[in-house]
Amino acid sequence: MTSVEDASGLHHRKTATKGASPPVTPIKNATSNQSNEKKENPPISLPKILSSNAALAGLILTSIIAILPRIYLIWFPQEVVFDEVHFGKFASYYLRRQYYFDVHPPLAKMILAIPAKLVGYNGKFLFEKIGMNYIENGAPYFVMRMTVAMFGASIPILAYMIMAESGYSLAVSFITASLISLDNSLVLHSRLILLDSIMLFFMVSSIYSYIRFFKLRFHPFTTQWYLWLTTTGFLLGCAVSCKLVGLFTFSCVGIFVLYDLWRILDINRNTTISEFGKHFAARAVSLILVPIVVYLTFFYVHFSILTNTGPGDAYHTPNFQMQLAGNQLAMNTLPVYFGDSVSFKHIDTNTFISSRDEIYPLKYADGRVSSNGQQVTATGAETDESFWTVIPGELFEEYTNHFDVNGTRINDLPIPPESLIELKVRHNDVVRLLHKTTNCVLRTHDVAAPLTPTNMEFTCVNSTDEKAYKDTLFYLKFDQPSAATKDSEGNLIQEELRTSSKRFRIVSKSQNVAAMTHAKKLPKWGHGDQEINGKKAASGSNTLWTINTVSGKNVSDSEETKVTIPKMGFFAKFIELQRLMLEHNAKLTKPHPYQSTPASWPLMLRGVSFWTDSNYNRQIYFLGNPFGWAMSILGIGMFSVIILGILAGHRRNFDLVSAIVERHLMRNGLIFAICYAMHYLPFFIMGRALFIHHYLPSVVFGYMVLGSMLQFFTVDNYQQYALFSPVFSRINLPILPKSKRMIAYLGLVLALQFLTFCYFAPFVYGTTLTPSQVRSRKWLPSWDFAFTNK
Amino acid sequence: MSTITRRKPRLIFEDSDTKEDLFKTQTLPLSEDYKDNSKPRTQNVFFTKKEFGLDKMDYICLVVLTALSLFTRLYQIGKRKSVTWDESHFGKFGAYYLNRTFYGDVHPPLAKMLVGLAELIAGHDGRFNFKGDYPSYVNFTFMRAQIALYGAALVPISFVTLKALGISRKMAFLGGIFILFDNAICLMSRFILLDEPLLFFTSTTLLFVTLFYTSNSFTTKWYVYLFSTGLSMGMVLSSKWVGLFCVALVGLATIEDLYLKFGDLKMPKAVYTRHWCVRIAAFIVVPLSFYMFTFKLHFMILNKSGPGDKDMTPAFQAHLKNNNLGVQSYLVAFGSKLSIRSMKIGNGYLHSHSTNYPSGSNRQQITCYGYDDDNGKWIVESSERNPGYNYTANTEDGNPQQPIYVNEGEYVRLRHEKTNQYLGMDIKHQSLVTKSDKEASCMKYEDAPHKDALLWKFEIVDDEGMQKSNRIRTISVTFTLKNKFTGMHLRAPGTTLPPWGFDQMEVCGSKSTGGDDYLWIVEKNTNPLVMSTKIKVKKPGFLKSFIYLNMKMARSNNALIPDRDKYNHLESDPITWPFLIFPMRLLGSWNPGDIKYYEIGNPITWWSSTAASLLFPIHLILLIIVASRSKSQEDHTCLMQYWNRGKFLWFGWALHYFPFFLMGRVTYIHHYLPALYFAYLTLAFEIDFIAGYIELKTKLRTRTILFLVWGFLSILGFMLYMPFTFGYTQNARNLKYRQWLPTWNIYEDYHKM
Repeated sequence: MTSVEDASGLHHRKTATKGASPPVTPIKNATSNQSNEKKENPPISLPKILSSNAALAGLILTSIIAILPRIYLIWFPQEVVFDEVHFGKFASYYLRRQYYFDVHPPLAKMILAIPAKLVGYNGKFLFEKIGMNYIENGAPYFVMRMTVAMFGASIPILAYMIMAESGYSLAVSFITASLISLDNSLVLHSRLILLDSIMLFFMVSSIYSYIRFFKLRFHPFTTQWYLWLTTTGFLLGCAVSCKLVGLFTFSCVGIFVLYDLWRILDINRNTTISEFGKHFAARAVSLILVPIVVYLTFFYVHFSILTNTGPGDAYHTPNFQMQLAGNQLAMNTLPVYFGDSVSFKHIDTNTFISSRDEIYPLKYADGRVSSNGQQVTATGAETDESFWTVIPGELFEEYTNHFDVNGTRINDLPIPPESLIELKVRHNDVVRLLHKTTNCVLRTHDVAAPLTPTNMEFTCVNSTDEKAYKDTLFYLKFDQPSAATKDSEGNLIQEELRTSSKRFRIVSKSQNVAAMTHAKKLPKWGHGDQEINGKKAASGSNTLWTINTVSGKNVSDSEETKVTIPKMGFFAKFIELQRLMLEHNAKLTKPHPYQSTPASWPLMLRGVSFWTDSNYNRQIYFLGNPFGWAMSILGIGMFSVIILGILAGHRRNFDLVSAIVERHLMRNGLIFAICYAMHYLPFFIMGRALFIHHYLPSVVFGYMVLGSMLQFFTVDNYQQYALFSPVFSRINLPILPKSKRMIAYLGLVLALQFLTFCYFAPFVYGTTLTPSQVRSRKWLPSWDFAFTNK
Repeated sequence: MSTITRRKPRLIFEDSDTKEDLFKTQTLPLSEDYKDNSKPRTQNVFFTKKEFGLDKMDYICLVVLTALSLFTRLYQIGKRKSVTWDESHFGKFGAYYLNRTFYGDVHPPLAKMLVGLAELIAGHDGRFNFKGDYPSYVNFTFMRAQIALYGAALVPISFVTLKALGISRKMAFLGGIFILFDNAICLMSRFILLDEPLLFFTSTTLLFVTLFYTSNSFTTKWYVYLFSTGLSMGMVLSSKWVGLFCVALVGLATIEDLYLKFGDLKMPKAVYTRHWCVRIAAFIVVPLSFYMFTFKLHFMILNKSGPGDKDMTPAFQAHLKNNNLGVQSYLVAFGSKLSIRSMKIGNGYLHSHSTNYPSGSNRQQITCYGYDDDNGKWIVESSERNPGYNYTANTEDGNPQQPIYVNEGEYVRLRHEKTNQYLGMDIKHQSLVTKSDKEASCMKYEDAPHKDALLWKFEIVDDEGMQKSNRIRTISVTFTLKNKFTGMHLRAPGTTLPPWGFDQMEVCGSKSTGGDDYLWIVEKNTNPLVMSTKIKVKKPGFLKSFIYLNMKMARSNNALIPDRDKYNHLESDPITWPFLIFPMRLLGSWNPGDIKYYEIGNPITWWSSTAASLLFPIHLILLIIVASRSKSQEDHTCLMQYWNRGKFLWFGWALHYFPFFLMGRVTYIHHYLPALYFAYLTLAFEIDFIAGYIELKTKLRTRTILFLVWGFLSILGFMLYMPFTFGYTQNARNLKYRQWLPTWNIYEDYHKM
């Protein structure tokens, strides 16, 4: 603390005049009078770090330290690791141009697809499972990981530039950047095909850009000022386009801007209201409008690339799906009329509802009793036994004019078109299903199904059976029906049933259960078919069916097959996708074995196992650098105490630290601390499942707070760094603190960070460790490494 | 330290934008004059005269308001002669105090004790269980009237509070009228409910804290107001936990006050310390002691066994009169039928039922269930005897067998009586919810994966018994159950199973121990061979029972989660409250002839109060901006006045409203009433401030005009919905034009969503 006393700034008090209004400094004069004069651009300069050899050397050294650990062994493992399963897959979909759905915005995933495209990869591998081999499947994982590594390596470099620009001594800037370079968790996330490094790059660079902008505050409305302001907005837009967590960075910058505007507004600064309006407008356009445009643009690109049907269709409304080439809803399909014989195909298992002239055994193996009725099962192939005639629940005139009660044509007269409209089967219609070969109707009733006692049995019953009549009525309820339209007379008309394209549920009217089947096979009496039963909760995909064929009709020789594709503009698509992303993001509440609570993150109570290889005892395990994380928590704690101390001191009219140190802490240190807090605290009120990697942005900013504390404790001559003018270089500034002891301390911090990094590096690079080595690294009982005992 | 300047001028830098900051030179009389009590300051923080007092006109206003308030709250109060709305709960809870039987509830006891007191005064003997019509021996009108007095007091209190805040008399009177003529507040004051005491104590807290700020430090009056605030806080906290928001309000104001005093360089450190100490005593010690005192009273009064027994520890229950846990078999012997209870609060009893796990081992489920039913009975078997051996049957020569007692560390089997399966554990399957643990299941003896899988060892952890031994004793002994095969302990982590487990609690096994999860206790022990004796166990101390009951309340409170599938039209989301979107019918039957009560506020004033509450932060920011753009002292004074007067009211509203968004439990519109009270006062304050501003600029008699307009609207709105407040007996369709929003259900059965 000697430094603090030295720099206590008590001598400055002499200059203070009691109660005097603040004198106006020359520069302020210049700025406030600027409106009259022609604005003078500041001399264009290289970034300062390049204008001094020491600074340049620091930058190069930082880059080396940043890049080396990230590209070392980057080709290993040659297998899909952890979430590469998702993000690699999404990149492949871009190359296949197939539509996928994800809760994150598209930018980072598009960036991952670019290098793969450049090396000629066509997206043939889908990264299905963790542990699949890349070489065998021909995926360009090396270039993809290298891309991520480059983004990851830029984070420490940017940190170095931020620190140097903000008036930290080069030694402190370099050490802070090195701490970030040697953090296991950041290195790990930079070596795999994951989104966080790319997002972090945009987050940190937007903060850098904002600082550059802020430093030009005495040259407002110059080209450079506008340039950095717009860049900030652009980078913020990119950050949000990577992951919605980017909004936290956005709100950080929002806080800075509001504070800045607040000070401009103050009457003591002599800003006129019109000047203020100009300031406000410039920021509003660059920091609100530009990010929105950027965000929209990436989605526009997203939709323009993904034009084909893909796994993401099912999330969307039918209108949206029909925009995608090859989607089943846009296919040419047949409408279904009452009296048609159709086969029902199960979506999940590709089986058909069939019945045969055999009955359920009276007693099952487990002692339960059945209805002893005719079997209804799901068969793997479409046979004659899979056809059912659709009869309306209540016979109406148009129907009885042409069909008898059993769905057989009673005359050969052609059906007039107006009757055809009436005879179409539609969403929510009540129908009876007559089995074609055995001539009896489908029924479900409150008897336990053969394999699933909680669900109801499906069987067939004679169509004239009065008692069973109400159990033979079924609703055909579409999955995602379109809104009902009105016909010429103003009656509501539901959507019509068509083959293949419409998915629907067969829901019993009396029992309110939906027909479902699953991969369980019936025993010998059922010929190994799948069981069909009535499920009480109708939701879920295993109750979805579609019409496979209409007996005797063919899509190609029918004129009624054409489907009209509704128009849907970009904004309609965009809004629908946003809504779905938010919905699904909020729904990610399913507990995950590796999820953790925000409170446990700074203490690193929990890691995440990414990949294991039991043959060689190798594993990749997410863990931060325990030393670095502990230090940054300490740094944040000290920072808070010092800030509170300073504020309390003000209330009592004394200064804890010198004015220049205080100014630096209150301005620059506080920026880092706000970034840390804003990227961390909001997680506490989030309902979804959270993982420790959500803490990574805070880790980066936490290290920067630590950097500001290192400066506070080791650097005496703050003024030299803090006071340098934003437009002049720092060529002649000393690089190192004067006190040898302080240099030793800084060196010690760096050395310990390096050693801890190396000690835990096997979990980053997946190198072999013996069980005893793994055990010795288990510093906390909650770190659940694999292979601790073998 | 000789200078008076608040902040010294700071060092000027080359780019000097440092010296200006948010904490502006403060010339307003925010901190107390510490020694000049002889010459009291003329102004307090509300910019009114120090030493608050009422004059003759004020008293006339008070009398008028009180009379009207009593009339609206008491008129036809006994009209409906049946138990109405939540009277069925709270009337009953009050009656428990008369019967002295122990009951369980999610709310602290004070308000219910007051209900009990009202019943006592009304001569109720506790026989009536508050279902259906009131019998002739229950003087329910008198009970309702007594409780209604708390509600009636709100009106005069609101008037005095506004006066103390420095609001003009007209507007303070208007504020009283808002409270007086709000149908929802009036309606909720007319039944035997907890809302009246809660609102009453909320209003007294606000009243005393404002009065506190009007008086000179360390005078007698100051102390009286200070400790009255503390006591009110204790009372509101002991009525319902939402009282915490009141405590938060006072707490925030105190923090601000102490922060300002911290910057008063003239105040000696000793005086400042004294300010701290007095506030800690009044605002922390007093409320907390009072809260604990109500529980002490609660435990003292309720000394008989009742419906709430199972909420408490078995040791506590054993000391309740007539509780059947007090006398039973003390030692556990082989063949004993046990009810085993988890020591983790909210878990309940070790339970199994003839439903299997849907995956994993697919064996029979083991769960924890809140009630001790037939499926929660376990029979202890010796590992040396065959399964199913009858330990209690007579020997061959007809004599009863000797009981063989179970010792600590002995391996036993636990047979589920209902299904004849054994508690067991298998190393192979992980538990289905807590994946890190292993699954515990019930299995047939023959199906055990290993002969040791069904063997369990009692390990005594804690012994509350009067005599110690290594035997397992009912209630006295807390133990863990260790499985021989897996070496794991039986654990109930307190997680809820999905619907396949009927939302009961999970039971699993884990290697480690520590924490309540692993602790079990024998609550009931039936064995014909072992004599029933009085259970010799220490009564848990007050503090232990107090903490246990509060934890239990917290858990049950959180368990009141809405079931969206069964969404009924009584619940409503907090976001709808300020806009009065879903008023609530207090009664299900809505036929002509029935007496119908509809909880709808006075829409005109209700919506105005919402507008005022939403306006406050915007208005404040505008004033801050104006002040920062102005060099005149007037604008700063204006801002300080707005802030100092409005902060209590607006933060009161915000603190009583926004936390409901974070709550997972079911919410009803009457949860908004405390916030509404603050919103009405905010409205009165806002009108007064704006009117004052206009009067300053234009000389127009704005206050009078606004008073007349809003007063008229207030009465009009009240009259429109009055039928539903006093009980409407005709066809509700007659009032269909009073349905202003399509979501109201004045005459149609269901809310339109």
